[in-house]
Amino acid sequence: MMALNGTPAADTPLLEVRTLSVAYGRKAVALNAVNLTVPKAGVVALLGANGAGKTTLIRTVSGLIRLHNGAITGGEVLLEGKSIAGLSADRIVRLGMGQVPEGRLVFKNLTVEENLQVGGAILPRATLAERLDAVYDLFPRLAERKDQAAGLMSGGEQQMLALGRALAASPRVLLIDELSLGLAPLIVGAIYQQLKKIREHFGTALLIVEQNARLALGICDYAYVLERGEIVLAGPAELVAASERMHESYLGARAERQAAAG
Amino acid sequence: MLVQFLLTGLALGSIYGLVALGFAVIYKAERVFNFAQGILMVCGAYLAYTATTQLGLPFPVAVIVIIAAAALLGIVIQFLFIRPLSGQPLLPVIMITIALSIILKALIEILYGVQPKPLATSLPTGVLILGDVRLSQLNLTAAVVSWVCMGVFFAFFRFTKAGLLMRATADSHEAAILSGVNVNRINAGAWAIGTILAVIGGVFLGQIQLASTELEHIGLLALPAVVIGGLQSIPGAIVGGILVGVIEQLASGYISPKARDVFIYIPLLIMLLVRPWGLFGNRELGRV
Amino acid sequence: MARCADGTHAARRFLAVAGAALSLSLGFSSSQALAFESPQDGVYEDRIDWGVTGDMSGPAAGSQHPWVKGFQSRMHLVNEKGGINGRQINVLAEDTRYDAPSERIAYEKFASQTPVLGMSGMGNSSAQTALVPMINRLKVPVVGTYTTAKASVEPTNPLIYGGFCGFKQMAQVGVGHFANSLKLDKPKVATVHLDVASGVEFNGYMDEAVKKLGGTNVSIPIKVVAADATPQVLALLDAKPDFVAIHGVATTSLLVLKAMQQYGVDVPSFAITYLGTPSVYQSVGEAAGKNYHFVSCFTPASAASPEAAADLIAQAEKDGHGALQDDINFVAGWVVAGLVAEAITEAGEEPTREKLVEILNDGFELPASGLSSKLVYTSKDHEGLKVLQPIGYDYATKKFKSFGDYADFEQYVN
Repeated sequence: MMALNGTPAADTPLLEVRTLSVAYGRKAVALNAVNLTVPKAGVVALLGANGAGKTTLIRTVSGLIRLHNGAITGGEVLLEGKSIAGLSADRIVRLGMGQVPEGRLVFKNLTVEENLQVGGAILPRATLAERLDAVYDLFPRLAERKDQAAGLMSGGEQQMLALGRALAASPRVLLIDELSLGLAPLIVGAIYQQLKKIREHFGTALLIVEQNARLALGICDYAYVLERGEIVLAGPAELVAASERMHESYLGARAERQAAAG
Repeated sequence: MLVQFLLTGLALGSIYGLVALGFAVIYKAERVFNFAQGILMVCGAYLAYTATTQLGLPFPVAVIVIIAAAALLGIVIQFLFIRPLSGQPLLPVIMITIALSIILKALIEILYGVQPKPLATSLPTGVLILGDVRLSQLNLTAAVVSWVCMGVFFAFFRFTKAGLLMRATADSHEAAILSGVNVNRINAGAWAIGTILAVIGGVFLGQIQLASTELEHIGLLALPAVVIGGLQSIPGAIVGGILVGVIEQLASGYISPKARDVFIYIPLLIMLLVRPWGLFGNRELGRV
Repeated sequence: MARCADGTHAARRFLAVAGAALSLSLGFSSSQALAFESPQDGVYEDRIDWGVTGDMSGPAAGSQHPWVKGFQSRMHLVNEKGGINGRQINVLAEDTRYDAPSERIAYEKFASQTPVLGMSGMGNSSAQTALVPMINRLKVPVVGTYTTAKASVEPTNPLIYGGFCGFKQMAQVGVGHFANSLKLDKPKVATVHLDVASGVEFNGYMDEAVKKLGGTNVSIPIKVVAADATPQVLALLDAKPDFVAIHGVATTSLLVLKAMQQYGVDVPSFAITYLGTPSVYQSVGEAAGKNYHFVSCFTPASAASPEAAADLIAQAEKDGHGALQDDINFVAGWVVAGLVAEAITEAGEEPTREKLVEILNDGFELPASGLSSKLVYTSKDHEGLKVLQPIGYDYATKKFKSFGDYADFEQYVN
């Protein structure tokens, strides 16, 4: 791994992945000794191409890896210093790790309000209403559509709802997987603006998994680049963005393509 | 005559609807096509026999014991047989429920013997005469209790947190897990409810007839009921059940008892061919 | 060669032991013997093997299981009294689940694999009909059938002997008795019957018996697994019969009687023999059951004279079947086992299948025992028990009551 100057953590990190290795089946190694840290209230991006192991990493952190027939072969995952490797996904959520999975996973037959209630179901009843109000403040659009069935909303609104549902549980860290996938650039831009607000409003730390490096680097403090199951680059966002490697493999190529298209 | 058939069909159909509702709850929660629903209903008749005749409990206490035992049975089945197969394709799970129904039937015959057992609950047995129409109080009670159960059931799903989480889990397992919902517990709850509904139906059918494993055939009328109503649909299960009851009465009354099967299963075939998601089902989700 | 024979022995022993384990696990009490010392006709130095088939766990188990228990109890008694000519009777019971293929497999087994002198039961009339050619070929006598299919006794088959009351006589005695006691000229009768072969057959006999008196019979079919009998009782309301005949399973009687009560159809009814069990009467209840009878060639213990029933009651208690002593099917099994014991005795010191057939076919008679009417086999008629009587139930004393002696009802039978 090429470490650029600066470390993200001052005190105990919120989420820490230590020399984590994961394999599917016996041989297919998906992650190899990966280290990653998310500090309190920090915004961290995990970048990489398709098949680099981003989804595997996020599944492992969120406890879903066993459902996908993968297994941890080494290393640890710590949430506020406590190991969460091997716990069930719902348990991990209840410990304070919110999840916004890929594909705008909402409860399609439930109303917006009900979606948020399910999201906040782990909170005591008294604080739930307050929390939902805060979420509605952040996403006024959701407040307008309170009683609408989630399945009838647009893609962007569903993505907002997925974010809102995860936030309803008052997580200390939020895992956000491929937010931009399948959404129009304009809408993606708007949602990324909301992500900034999430940190300001709630002080929630974010771990953003994103294929679109430019977008993610625009809002994060710190970034990791994953290639073939290994972290190949890590550092503060501006340094990563400026690095040669990043430029060649991700930003540059894309910029050229975009220029050509333009 | 017609009114008589309709009312009797409505009363019996309410019981089928109740059992079908239990089936739909389990199906919605876990996509498990539960072929053991009929034998779970039979368990209800035998639980009633144990509680009232063998243990001699007063009827209200017996009802509580029966419902508690049903909930426990559903939870145990889910824990032992369904949970380990979570995420497996439909077929192994279906085979499990078929095996389960055969095992439960054999266990009942070993425990209680093969002779049918008469039930002696304190359900009313008289006749209600309304003009030309005569309704058995037992059938009427069965219908009323079925509707009350359905009402309680709707209120539970609409107004309680557990009901909301159950609906959410049925909607998307993964989203529920990622919302911190313990889906195993929710699914166990769905099995408990599905079993309770079947068992209540079984108590009534056992009282109308005898506690006997042959009742399973009647319990399995829940299958055409849910397919006609729509596998995914709660109102569909109830309407499907009532339709099956009314069709049964009209066909046996006006044509012949044999005609019953034809007239119940032909709508099922037509439904599968032209509208596989059922009368009330969701077109996208509800294919059989 | 020797090794080969040993191998065969071992395999057979294994099969026999496995068979025994299976039988035990299914709850039959049969002291399985090792199969390799097998004389052709199931007769050994110290015992005689006798086969019994019945539905012990299938749809007809409710009635056939008690029948098998009754048969076994009677044979226990025979054995306790020293057996027959120094030999114990070893009952090999097979559960055929009301299923023709299983019936066939059991019969083949009884013919050669675990040979028996003869067998009883075979309580599925369509299986029986299908097996007649096989019976003629393998020649294991069937003595005392639980139900008697037409094909088994018409024309008379030297290998098959009825052991139950016939549908024809049930119809004749039921119709005769009710027409007479209700003083009906040209009776109007309704027959509720299952829509299966035996139900249609019974309805045919009802037609005949009623027509003979110049009356009319309405056929009202019902399904085996019906949930309710409203359509049938509405048909009854329409037909306004003087009395009703019921053919079916226990649930049929229950549903029909309860629905009759519900709709205020208060006419006497009689059912076929199989439906005369205490559990039917108890689940129907007094209000609906007080006018319900059945016709039978067997007498439940509580309706029989104490002397006639003493052995049965004592043995049933001893074998743990006390609750079954008033079950008509238990009595029927008991009576048939008595018939079998008598036939084996008469077949002499060294009975064979051939001798057994000779004895039975050549004019065989058992007098009325108090538990059944008299049984007669002639070379032209193997139906056996031809005289029936109507029996009712007294809810106050929880005892069955008869309306006379079998002889009183002989007039209705022809």
